[in-house]
Amino acid sequence: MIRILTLAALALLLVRIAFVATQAKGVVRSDRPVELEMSVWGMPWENDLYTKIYIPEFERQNPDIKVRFHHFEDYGNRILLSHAGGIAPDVIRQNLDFSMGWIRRGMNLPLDRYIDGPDGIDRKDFIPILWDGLRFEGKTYGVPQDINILALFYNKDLFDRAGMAYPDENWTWSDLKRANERLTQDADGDGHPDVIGLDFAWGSFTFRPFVYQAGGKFWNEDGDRTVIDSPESIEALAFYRTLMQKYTLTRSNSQRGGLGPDKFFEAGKVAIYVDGSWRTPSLKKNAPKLRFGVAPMPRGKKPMSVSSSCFWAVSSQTKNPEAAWKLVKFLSSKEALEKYWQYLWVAPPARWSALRSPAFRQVTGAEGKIPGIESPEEFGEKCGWIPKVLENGWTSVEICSPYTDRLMLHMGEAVDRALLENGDPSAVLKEAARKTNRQIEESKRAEALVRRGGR
Amino acid sequence: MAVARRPEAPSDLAGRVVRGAVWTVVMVGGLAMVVPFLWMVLTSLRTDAEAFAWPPRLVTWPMRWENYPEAWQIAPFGRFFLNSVIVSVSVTVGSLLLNSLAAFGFAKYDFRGRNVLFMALLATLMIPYQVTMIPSFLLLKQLAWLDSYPGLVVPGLAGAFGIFFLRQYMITIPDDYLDAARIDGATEYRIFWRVVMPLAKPAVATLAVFTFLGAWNDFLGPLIVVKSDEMRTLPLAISALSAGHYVMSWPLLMAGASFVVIPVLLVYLVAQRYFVEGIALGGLKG
Amino acid sequence: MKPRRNQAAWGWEFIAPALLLIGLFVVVPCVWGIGLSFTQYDAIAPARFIGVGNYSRLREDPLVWSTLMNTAIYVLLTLPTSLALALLIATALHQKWFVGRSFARGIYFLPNVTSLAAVAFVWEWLLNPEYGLANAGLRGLGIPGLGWLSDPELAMPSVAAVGVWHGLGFGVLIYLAGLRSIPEEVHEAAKIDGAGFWQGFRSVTWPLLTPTTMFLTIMGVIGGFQVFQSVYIMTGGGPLDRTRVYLYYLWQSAFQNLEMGYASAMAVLLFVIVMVLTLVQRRFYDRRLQAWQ
Repeated sequence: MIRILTLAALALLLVRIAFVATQAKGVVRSDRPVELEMSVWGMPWENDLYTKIYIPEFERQNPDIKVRFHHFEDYGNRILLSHAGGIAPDVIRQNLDFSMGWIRRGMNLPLDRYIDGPDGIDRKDFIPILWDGLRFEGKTYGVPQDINILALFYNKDLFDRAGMAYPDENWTWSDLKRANERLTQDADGDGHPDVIGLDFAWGSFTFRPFVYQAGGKFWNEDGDRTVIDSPESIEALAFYRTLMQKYTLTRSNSQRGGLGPDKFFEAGKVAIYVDGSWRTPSLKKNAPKLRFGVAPMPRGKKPMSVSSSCFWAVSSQTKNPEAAWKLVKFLSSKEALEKYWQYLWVAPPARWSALRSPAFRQVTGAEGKIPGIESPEEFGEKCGWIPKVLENGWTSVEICSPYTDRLMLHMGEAVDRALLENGDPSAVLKEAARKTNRQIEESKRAEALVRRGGR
Repeated sequence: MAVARRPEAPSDLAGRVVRGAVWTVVMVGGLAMVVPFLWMVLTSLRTDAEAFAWPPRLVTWPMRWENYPEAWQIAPFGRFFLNSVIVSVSVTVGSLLLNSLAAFGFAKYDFRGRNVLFMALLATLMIPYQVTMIPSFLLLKQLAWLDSYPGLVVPGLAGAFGIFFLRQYMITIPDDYLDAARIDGATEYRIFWRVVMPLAKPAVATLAVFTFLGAWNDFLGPLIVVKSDEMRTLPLAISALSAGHYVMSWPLLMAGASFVVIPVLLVYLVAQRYFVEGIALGGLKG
Repeated sequence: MKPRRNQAAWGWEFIAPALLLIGLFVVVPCVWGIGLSFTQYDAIAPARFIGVGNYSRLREDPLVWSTLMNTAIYVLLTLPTSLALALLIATALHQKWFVGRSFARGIYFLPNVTSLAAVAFVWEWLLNPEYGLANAGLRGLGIPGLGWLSDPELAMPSVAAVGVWHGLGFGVLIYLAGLRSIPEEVHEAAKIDGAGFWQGFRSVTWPLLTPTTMFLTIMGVIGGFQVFQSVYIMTGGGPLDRTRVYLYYLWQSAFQNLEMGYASAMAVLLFVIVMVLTLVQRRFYDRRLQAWQ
């Protein structure tokens, strides 16, 4: 009897495999309400914006669409894995930092026919560099949500105590270096500094803006060959290295759950801290007594920072592209983006209309979850730098290319070598460029093969 | 050790000193094994500021018990806990049933190809899960079992070790018992369930403990099967906390780690006997 | 007496379900994996047959060799340490005079039952360079703190130490069982020959423990090749790739780079390596056993 049951189970499994295989070909039944899955990452309280504000409103406007919401922590892995497993969400929040590789793999649906179609959106209302970042082989693979920018966070008390002026947009490299040295203090001389002048996640992530400030860049014109071994980058790395002082290096960086230097900054042990604009609200939340301000990155040869952008994309595996587009359009509307800023204020919105509207200056925060901004003075101190940087074009997304992941990997090694093993900046960057470019060539060859053979 | 077998001579002072020293070292070493768990619990009862105090203090007052409810809420730990329980219990019950059936078949029936088949089964023990991980993922994809309980449970039911372990035990059960039952008119199923299983209880209990722990602590399996938050098991949940963008504090994270570790420690304290004996039994023969 | 139906039918009856599952989730994946290793496949676009392409890439991939080296270093750091410590502790616990044996045995085995994912996390906190307990202890002794997981030279030893801590109890239990299986008469005989503790240990106990040591060595090597969670959580393979072990690279290739074909070839290589190492060790210990007999 067990044997017969087992055979039956085997038969059922085989039938199931066959059934799943035909399902994958995609037969959409139109009589039922469409179910969309969407995914985001972010701070836990960000979920409320989606589950309590966006999704109910969207479902009210589109009664025939139901939205299932996902929040993933190890986001990149989840998204890749769910595509490999054929269970990808339909609408996926992505980021220029890590999504270009997905676009290259064909995981995103090109959106041009929707963007420029009858139910489309006005491209001109968005910060133009963002569209450049989203283009791959002439097609657009997403609609921008925000633009985040790296900046200097400073502890006002520590500056006041040292009798130093706060950083501003006129700060130069040498101001930064001098402040670092003056602010670092080890009162009891135990080799464990009580105050660290400058600390952040040391590595390629914070190294990037210095390359731009030195006048360098990351890619050639076509974005498929790195020029990270240019004299400008070498100068940047040589300078970056001088910022690190002789104390235990904080290596656990913001990618690892924010358990690193940001905590030390919150605890008032770090005077200057470099991180993205998204850090401002959580600093205010976690350290309500901390008096801090935010300034643009310092000038090298020119004032520059580095940016990335979150955007909304549609998976190429979606069975409901029309409904998915409706959701993307809703999520990137002026109203949605204003809410996004007022509620979370992690990164300024990608639309000029939202950026320049009065709503931009009224940061409410999320009731009980994240504080807002109380006064125009506070707004000036913590967010005033944002319009300055954006209106003047002091930031770039040039680093975002389909091959950024490889560049970041090898540049990370190079920066580590320079910091940890006292490697020569020129030698380590040349090595990084060589490795990156070789890998790009290899993967291009491989992809050409796949395209000819496969799709 | 031979030394110790004789009653001690009162003059054997040097021997006593050596023994005392050895005893102390081994006991202190044993306590050192527990330090990480203690530190986990102690840290989980602090505020952020206390965790970053320098130099760190051993105990801080008042203890911040609120970290536990807070950690429980910041991520859906209730759900993760439930998932871990569902998966571990299903894997344990299911694999024990399947393995004891198969062990019974191999131990008590003679059929052509049995020994070859059994050797082949033993050979599969040589294949680490990691080797079959990728095709298993693709197979679950074909079954549309990714991100679901069957995907987390069914692959865990397959494994030759349990069969081997139980067969070695069942083979020692005398055939006379089975025959006696047959004379009484028992069916083969009844013999399995009423005669063999009760006799094999110690082996089954040991295997149950290990299967449960293996499933509870499994990491790589769920790591590739699970997509959505709702399907995470505890070890995955805790790793996600560290890999992700949750802005959390070490005390809260340690509270989260306690959710994973403490239930297992409780099971261990209750069922220690089965662990110790089971390892001795299974280890040496495996 | 024979069962009513014939033996074979009942045998198959009982083994069928387990056989089906093992076939489906072990045998089929094995064959499938070998097949995949000859393709280029990202699980999104269809697979493409590329012959032995993946295998020639394996040979040239410097990361394969460096991650194998890292794995070997891990094994060399953990295995002798665990064996020596486990043997010492087990020998002490085996003594008749040892008071509180089952308590000691219990706490040594304690880490083994906990999820490595969770405790690796606890260790990351213990080894935190700024506020960790480990550096607090060092500074208390007047030694400057160490970057346990951030110093390229220290990271692998730290990961290995966590591995030893987690696995030590298993070795202790196995050695205890081994010691218990040595008949008392053997010791008595050695005693009569006038052998001291150390001599008796060397000439009697240690040789008789050979099967136990063999088992632990083989398990240790296999386990060393499977180390993953501690690296995944504590270091992510860094710093400078020093803790990137083979399995971690395999997992990254398969599920982060979606190079499933290449990763399958890596899995085949893993299987071959583990197999060969196991056989080599078996032979080695068999010879030793014969030499002693």
